[in-house]
Amino acid sequence: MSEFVFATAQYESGDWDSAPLLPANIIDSVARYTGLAVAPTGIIVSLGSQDLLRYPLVFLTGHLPVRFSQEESRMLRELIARGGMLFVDDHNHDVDGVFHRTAVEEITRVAGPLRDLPNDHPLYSAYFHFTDGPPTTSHELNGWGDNLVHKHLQAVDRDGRIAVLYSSKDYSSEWNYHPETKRFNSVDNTRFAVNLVVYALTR
Amino acid sequence: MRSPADRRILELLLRAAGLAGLVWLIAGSFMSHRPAGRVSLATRWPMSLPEWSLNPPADSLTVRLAAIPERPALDWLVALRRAGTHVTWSGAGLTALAIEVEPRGDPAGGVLVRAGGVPDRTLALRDRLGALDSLRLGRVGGTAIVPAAEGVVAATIRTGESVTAAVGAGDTLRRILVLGTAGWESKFVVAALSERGWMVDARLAVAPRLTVLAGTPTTIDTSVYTAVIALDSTAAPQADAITRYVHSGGGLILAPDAVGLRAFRSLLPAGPGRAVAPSGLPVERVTSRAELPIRDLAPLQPNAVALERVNGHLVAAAGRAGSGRVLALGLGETWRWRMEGDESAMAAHRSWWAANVAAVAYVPVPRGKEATDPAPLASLYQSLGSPVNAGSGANPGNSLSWVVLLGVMASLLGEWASRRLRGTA
Repeated sequence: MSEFVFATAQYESGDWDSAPLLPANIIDSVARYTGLAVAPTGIIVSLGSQDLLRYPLVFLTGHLPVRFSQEESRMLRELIARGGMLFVDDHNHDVDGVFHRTAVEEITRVAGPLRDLPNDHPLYSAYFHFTDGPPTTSHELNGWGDNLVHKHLQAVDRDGRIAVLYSSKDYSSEWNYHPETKRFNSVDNTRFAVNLVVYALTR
Repeated sequence: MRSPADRRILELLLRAAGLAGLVWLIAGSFMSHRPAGRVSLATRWPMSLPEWSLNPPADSLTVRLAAIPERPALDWLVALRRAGTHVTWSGAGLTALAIEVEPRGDPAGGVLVRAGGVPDRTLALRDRLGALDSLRLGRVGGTAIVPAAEGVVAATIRTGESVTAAVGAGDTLRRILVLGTAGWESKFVVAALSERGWMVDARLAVAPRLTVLAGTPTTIDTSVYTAVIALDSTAAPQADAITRYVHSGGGLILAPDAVGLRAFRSLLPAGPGRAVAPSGLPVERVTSRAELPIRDLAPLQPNAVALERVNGHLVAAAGRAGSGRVLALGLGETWRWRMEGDESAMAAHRSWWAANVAAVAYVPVPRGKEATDPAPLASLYQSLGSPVNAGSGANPGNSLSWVVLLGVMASLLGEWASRRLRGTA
């Protein structure tokens, strides 16, 4: 049985590598809480390469404007059509920042319009139970950034499953620390990442 | 010849032998007409059936067949036999042909036609609405999948002989249960079958005591599930229930990681085999099914059927267990074929999994009321037993008569020639 490999999308525009510690943290959480076989290191995959199709769950983040090339758009459509899932997180935690505006435009162009994901969606109970929807990040709580708590994630649905998940909550900052640091947290704030992985593997 | 006296003695002997032969032939002819049996011509005997029923022609009766009789005529012979007449048959070169027709266990529909008979013959398939397809018989018969068929399907060869079988109405398709570990393989097996139209329940293990459910998995029973797919060792705790399910008619698919489990050993049509290609994440892109990790399922169990080989390795084998069917697969990580293959790979992956399910699917079919004859030669053997002289269809007594007749003619000709050469009349 092949093991789960956490893949980060490398795209031509923007700063795709803005959360370099995030993959290790998520891999640690998946290994810590589940019995799933998981590769010990993540992988970086070019969004416009054929290799993208080897990773049915792909993470994409950044601060800067996003414009997908023709090849990146084509491969992203292929990934979604074949049953893959793209998770996009706005590293700016903005309401109307450049990443948000351009990423939403690109996602809409490639996959269709994003809609609010209900807070009782199966994603929130795929492994841990998040009864209030997406867990709030520390940036939202301390008012740093846009002083807003985003109540919902957004998604593009394809045949009853999430094909593209979009977050303005800045999980990229929230989870971008070394796994060793987890011991200082009273509650592990990466548990929602386990739900993301389990959801992608089972839906 | 040494002297005229000797020659006369020889002539007397030849005449005596000829006359003796004639007497034997005449007596034999009378004996063959005594009411102990009858050999009837192939084309005429069916017309004699009404007469034979009213006035049995003999204590025993042998019909010589040039073609397999129609079902009513065959039934009539059976009735004669049960009425006390010893009925046997002879005939050579009768065409062996058989057909089986059943609805596919596939939401996409279709009717599976299996035929057996002499290799290299082509069957024309038709139903009551018209022509369906043609089917070329190979060494082990042949199969065809037609989109739909109504009522009775007939398969006819060029000489005009045909066999028929009723399609029947397949029972309502039910659900499929997938058992495995949460992962890309289980996800995409469920996805492929759901896209095909199946209702798929799944128990996917995420942690030692935590399972993610898809659909509403329930008791493993033929009243619920058309097939069960065991992907890996997480299915082992349910092996007893699965075994009971299969023995009562259910279908089971064992993926490579489940084939090696001791819990399913009694159900295996082949294997458990061995891995011949490393699993994991090869560098190369998977573009076809042949590039997937392989578990060679050899050896094949007796009465099981090899369905697919890749590079000489047995990768799919099917067999029966009780009333059910079991398919063992030797190709793993099929999700990579779906994701990494060309544009057609997704559809091909879906069709392949659907075909696997159809191969084992439990589809109870009520028998139709249509009169059919799916295997006429087998029916003939079943009704009247083996032929009395299946080799040539000739009567061995006739052969001896011909030899004796030739001997008589030779004797009399020799005696006559001898006398003429001596100058006597």
